[in-house]
Amino acid sequence: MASAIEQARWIQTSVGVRALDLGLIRVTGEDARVWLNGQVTNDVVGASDGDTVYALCLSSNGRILSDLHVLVRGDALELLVPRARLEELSAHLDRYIVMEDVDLASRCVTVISAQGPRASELLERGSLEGFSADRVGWGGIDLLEADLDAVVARAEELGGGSVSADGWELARLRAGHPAWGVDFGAKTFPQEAGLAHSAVSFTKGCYVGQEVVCMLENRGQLRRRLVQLRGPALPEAGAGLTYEGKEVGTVCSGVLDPEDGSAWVHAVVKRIHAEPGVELEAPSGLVTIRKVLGSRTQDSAL
Amino acid sequence: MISLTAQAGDKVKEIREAEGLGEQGLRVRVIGGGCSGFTYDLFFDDDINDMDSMFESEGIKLCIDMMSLQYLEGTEIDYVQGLHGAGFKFLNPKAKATCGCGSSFSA
Repeated sequence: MASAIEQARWIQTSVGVRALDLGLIRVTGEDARVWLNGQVTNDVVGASDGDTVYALCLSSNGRILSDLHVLVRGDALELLVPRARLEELSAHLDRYIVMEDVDLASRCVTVISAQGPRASELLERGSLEGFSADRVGWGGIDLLEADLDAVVARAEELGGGSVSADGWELARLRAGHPAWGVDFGAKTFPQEAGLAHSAVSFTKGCYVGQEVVCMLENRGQLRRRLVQLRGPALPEAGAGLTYEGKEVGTVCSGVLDPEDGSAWVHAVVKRIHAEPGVELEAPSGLVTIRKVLGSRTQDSAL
Repeated sequence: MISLTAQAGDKVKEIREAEGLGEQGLRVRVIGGGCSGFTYDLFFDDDINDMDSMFESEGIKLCIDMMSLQYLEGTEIDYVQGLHGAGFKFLNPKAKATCGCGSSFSA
């Protein structure tokens, strides 16, 4: 098996393939689109057949219940969600069907995810159905009802290959791509996780949690931000970060880069300290903020 | 039981007359979605079915489907005008919270 370094390089320059165990919620009915538009943060009414819409499902106080990819497949909208969220999210959405003509059907699925700048070339020979889904920050697609070995073989022809969890995570942290359940979750607002510009429409109609999100965007000051840091050693997830002796953040996820032995880290940090170049103290040593995730003023190139 | 205030009743009649809708009733319903989770909806409707509950208030026939009724029982609909604008306002004892504009609620 290729090393994590090589696998990450495939994702960054070609295509890396991995099977993902996810949940799928199929939304059908005459009112499906309009109803779903009132449930998630991004615009699904304007989406066309074959499109993917990345969105968030929020609680009424604006915190993230889950991220999801909405696949537009004919008359149906299929939501790909983290498998761990499937049951709760299905119950949450079901609660908001009153008299609308909407049906929900949920199940577990395994999706073949191809990540990297050449992922879409996997579709060029036909016979595969793919949907745009950037899962680790380098662009990519999800393939439904595909054979993993066949997709890997095609990826190898493009200079890529099969990717393990280690290679996947290395590529993700190098890109500074936040992940549900490790970098953001039920206590996070979209703007804190840097997801406002990729997952939220500020021009569509109302959705659950909208008022809080809009107030934060237009008036409020976020208290904390998700940042990417680098350091010579890897702090544990959950470790505190301090500045001049005062706790200002918490480590969410991280990986040691085998290429140079340094650490890539995601952490939630108090907004006032969330600036590139700021040095914070972790139990493992100093870490330096490289960028604020989702900030439009940041240069995201490595 | 759902009711209208006198101001709301007058406004409904005014709109109904302006649109030439005769004695059409008002459907009151709850839609899933919106800032706080559920949204109020009001529109003139004469398409009544067996699953609807009927009330009369201020001379207006009100029609509510059985699913919406569980969220609206005891609601009084008012019409307010002020510096912040004008509109129908729902005073709903079943609402746990309401969004800033009043059109959405949690239950």
